[in-house]
Amino acid sequence: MTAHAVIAIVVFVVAYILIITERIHRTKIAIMGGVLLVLLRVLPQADAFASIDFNTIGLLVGMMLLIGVVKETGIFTWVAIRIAKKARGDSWRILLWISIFTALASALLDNVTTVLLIAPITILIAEMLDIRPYPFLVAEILASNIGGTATLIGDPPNILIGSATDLSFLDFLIHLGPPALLILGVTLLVLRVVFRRELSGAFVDTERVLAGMDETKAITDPVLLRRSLVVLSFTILGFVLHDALGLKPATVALAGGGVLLIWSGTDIEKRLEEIEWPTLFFFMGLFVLVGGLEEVGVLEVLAAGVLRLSGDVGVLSLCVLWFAALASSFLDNIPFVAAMIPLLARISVSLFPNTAGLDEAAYAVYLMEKSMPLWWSLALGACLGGNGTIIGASANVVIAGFSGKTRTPLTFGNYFRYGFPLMLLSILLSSGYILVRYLLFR
Amino acid sequence: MDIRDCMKREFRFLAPDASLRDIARLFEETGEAVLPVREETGELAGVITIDDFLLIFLPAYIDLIRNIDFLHDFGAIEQHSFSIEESLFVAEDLMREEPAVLAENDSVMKAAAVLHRSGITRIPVVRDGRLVGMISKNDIVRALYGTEGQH
Repeated sequence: MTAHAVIAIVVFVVAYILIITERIHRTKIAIMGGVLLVLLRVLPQADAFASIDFNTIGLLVGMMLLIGVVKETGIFTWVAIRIAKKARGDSWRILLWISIFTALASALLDNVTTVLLIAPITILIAEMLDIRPYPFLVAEILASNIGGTATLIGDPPNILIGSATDLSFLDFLIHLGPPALLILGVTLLVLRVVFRRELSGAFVDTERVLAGMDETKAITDPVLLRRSLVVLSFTILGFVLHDALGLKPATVALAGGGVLLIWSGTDIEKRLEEIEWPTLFFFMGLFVLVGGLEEVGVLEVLAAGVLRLSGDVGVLSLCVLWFAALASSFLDNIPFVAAMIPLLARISVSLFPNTAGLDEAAYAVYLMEKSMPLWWSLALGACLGGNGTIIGASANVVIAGFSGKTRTPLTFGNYFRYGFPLMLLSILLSSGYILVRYLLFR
Repeated sequence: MDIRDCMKREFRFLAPDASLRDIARLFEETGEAVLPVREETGELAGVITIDDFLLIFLPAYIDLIRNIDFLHDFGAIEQHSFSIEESLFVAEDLMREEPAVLAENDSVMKAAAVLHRSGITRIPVVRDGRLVGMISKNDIVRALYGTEGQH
């Protein structure tokens, strides 16, 4: 092993441990780690910059711009109150529809923003109706991570996978949408049984309480709302068509963000404040760190090691699924997936070599077709694994923070009782899905 | 002009162990928005603002919601009385410790500046840690425009 390889591994492992322990902000570590690789001459600067995947960065920036406007419009509060009114204060039906809405919003926007907007109004509605808020919060955590699994833009692991593999928005929707729907349905049924006592009826005059909320007043700026929803709809349509149009997802997202910047008429400084710069720089640093590993050939060695254990795509897929799920329950799934992607790419090349002598484009299609179960397993494991513990995903942490201000705070222990078994159930269902759809009938 | 010329030497204060009921009564009787809390020894312990007092009636999560225009009332929350812990609150639990204070020989303009910075409307005046007076934004207006004689 060369000195460069040793440096790249040491820097990566130390950075990884520091990110996991969360004593220093992950963005600081990622930037410093990336810089170290260049300083120590593992990577030339040009290669370091080239390893940053600007499709991912562009997609994130575009969506952050869009979301920054949507989140000011009050639409989430409006929807939550409408749901409470339509459900006539029936707590199970409120939980059901709020969860479905959370899943849908998480699939199209980012999970953290979704729960940031939906959780406070849910807590308020629950307390006004004299129901304990924690069943709703648990359901929102689960729904948001499950919803995020369903699309390319739903969760950062999917953005990374989509960008690295050229799988399209539609591919994600067709392949991950059905299991996400199934898992959401099963999870909600389980929650109905688990929380039947908490959800058995409110003890206040629900009609009067609900009449005390006027959802139309929640909409702060109807014009801005209409414009942002129009742009968001076209952006989503753009995502659905991006492959057919030959556009990358980042182009679609930036187009949406750009149009809304002009059309919303708000101050550019204010709009750019909505961009989560720490997240973007975290991704950039991480790409350089992983780029270092690729450069020195460590991943080939690792891939060969994995392939010695098993050369069967089915066995490997299920291993990836469960390993990703358990790892993502406790760790940040972004660095995990970032490191897994190049590894899986090498494994799939070794599993399905170009024996038929196809040209490059045809081989890429063949390879993608064949290695799909591996990629979908990684996506399902990394996204759904986030449901396992209260620290499994950022959305969980945000909700736990909110719950601290209620009568029934969510803690690691009391969330674990619901989250972990339901996460295992969702991975079990995913295993069945992967087996049936990709392995038994291949 | 010094503070000693315009501060109030007659003022009412709370003991550190004053109950919520005592605090409410004193707010009501004095009409003040800031009340000093004084130790038995005469030393200043802290101040209680009427905002801090009212805040304990509001549920903690209300500040999670930016826009509350859509709310007419708070439903079931309005019928909740204090929890047991909340009803045990005494002045000491509510007060701001180490509040901004002034000395008698500080100037009136400085008092205006400190009141502005501190964000409250009435500030204790102390001598060697002992509470000797209170000065409010109103006292300063009166001093500056001489509505009480002097100018």
